[in-house]
Amino acid sequence: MSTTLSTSRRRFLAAGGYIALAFSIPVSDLSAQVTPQTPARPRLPGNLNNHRLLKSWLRINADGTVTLLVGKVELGQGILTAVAQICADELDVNFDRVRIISGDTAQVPNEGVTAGSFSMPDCAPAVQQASAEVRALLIEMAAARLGKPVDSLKVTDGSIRSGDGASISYWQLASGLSLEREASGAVKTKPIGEHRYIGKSVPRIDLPAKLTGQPIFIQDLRPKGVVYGQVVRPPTYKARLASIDTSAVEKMPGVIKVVRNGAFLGVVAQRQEQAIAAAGAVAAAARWEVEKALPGHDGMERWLRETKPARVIDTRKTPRSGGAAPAKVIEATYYRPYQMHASIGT
Amino acid sequence: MTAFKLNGRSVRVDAPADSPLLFVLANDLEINGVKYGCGKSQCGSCAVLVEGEAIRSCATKLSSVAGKSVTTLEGLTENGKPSRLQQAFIDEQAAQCGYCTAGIIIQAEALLDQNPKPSEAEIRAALNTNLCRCGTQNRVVRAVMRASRGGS
Repeated sequence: MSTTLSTSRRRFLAAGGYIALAFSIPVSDLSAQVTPQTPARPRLPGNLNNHRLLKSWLRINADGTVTLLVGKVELGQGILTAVAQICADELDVNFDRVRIISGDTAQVPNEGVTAGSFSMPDCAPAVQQASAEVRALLIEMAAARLGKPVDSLKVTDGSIRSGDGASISYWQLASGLSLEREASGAVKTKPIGEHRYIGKSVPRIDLPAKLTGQPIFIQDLRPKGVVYGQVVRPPTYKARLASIDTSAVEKMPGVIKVVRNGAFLGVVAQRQEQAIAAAGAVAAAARWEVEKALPGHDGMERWLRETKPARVIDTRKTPRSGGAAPAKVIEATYYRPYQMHASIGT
Repeated sequence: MTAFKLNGRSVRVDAPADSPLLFVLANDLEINGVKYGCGKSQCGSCAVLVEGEAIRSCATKLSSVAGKSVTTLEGLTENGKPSRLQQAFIDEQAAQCGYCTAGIIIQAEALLDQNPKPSEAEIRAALNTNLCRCGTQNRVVRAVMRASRGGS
């Protein structure tokens, strides 16, 4: 099964063009490929510290494109567009030269999960520093090839020129460039004033595919011979499965298997609608013991206030000593209901 | 075997006649531009056009489209390029995760077909039952207005 899925995914990635889509496989180890550190090695920005080889992040291609490899995935937050902006700025190439491979675990650095607003703090600085270092390597190569000092060279969209008009491009240098080396951390990134893309609104690169029906969502993966599963969730937190008779569900059309593992319940069926119907029948057949002490949505605020906290966060009701008196004191209480995360399309 | 027209071409599909059209399109016919949201005709992410009218494919049986013409998000493209309405959504960046947007564009297509110059209130009314959790509603309204003006 996993082999089929993998093959199909490759085909899917190829068909999907330059925006590759990820599987959201839960990764318990956030940085599985951590290189052991010795004190002599510098602390590198973001996840470059864990994945120090430049080739883990970038490829310069002879066809005039740049391949950026990132472990973070697009969920609609615009991350791929953002890292492409950063890469284009630091490498000194036009934005549309950047091709991204994202989340293909066989190819990209393992950056763990895409969650908690960590993509920009962890992935983006790595992309920025790696891009700056690859640019520096290309300029060094160009200086040697052209016989010009590094300081005399300027880069415009991957084209390196000296003051007297001699030039060579990244794409010409690509075949001789080895990125099988660790980032040094010594190359400086650009000052803000030289940014062309960072800080500007750039149209999202994933939207044309999403708005015209190209394969870009996980739901658009259709492995050969796929069957459909549904999880039957307990009615509440801490519910215990008291009993269930699944014999009737097992006879429903298309049902391949009813899965029971402790209190975990699920079904597998030939067709998606059959799995959904069977899951409904399993839910109806299950008898749960529900803990009575849970507050429910309506009683949540009162329950929170009455619960003894495990830890008290420091609160101060007076302004800091020695500071100016507040011009105006505003007191207000804000409360929002419990927010459930719910995956879409399952 | 059920035969109908899908995005202009004739298709025959071997699926139970009472299967929801949504799953036949998404799984049997490998259509990307139709998405399973709630499965209860409440959210609109599965909207498709049947004979030009926007319907919820999760609550439509396969048998009911026999011999009819079905259009999905990919069917709106013109020679592989985004339609004027799709381009307006791109221009206004009117999607965040983009999952519900397929159905929204279909619903808007049906609106513009009947009412090429809708007011903002008419657009909001027409899309009122297409849910977007990301909060793109105002951009969506701007995109539909842009398309109704001819793309400018």
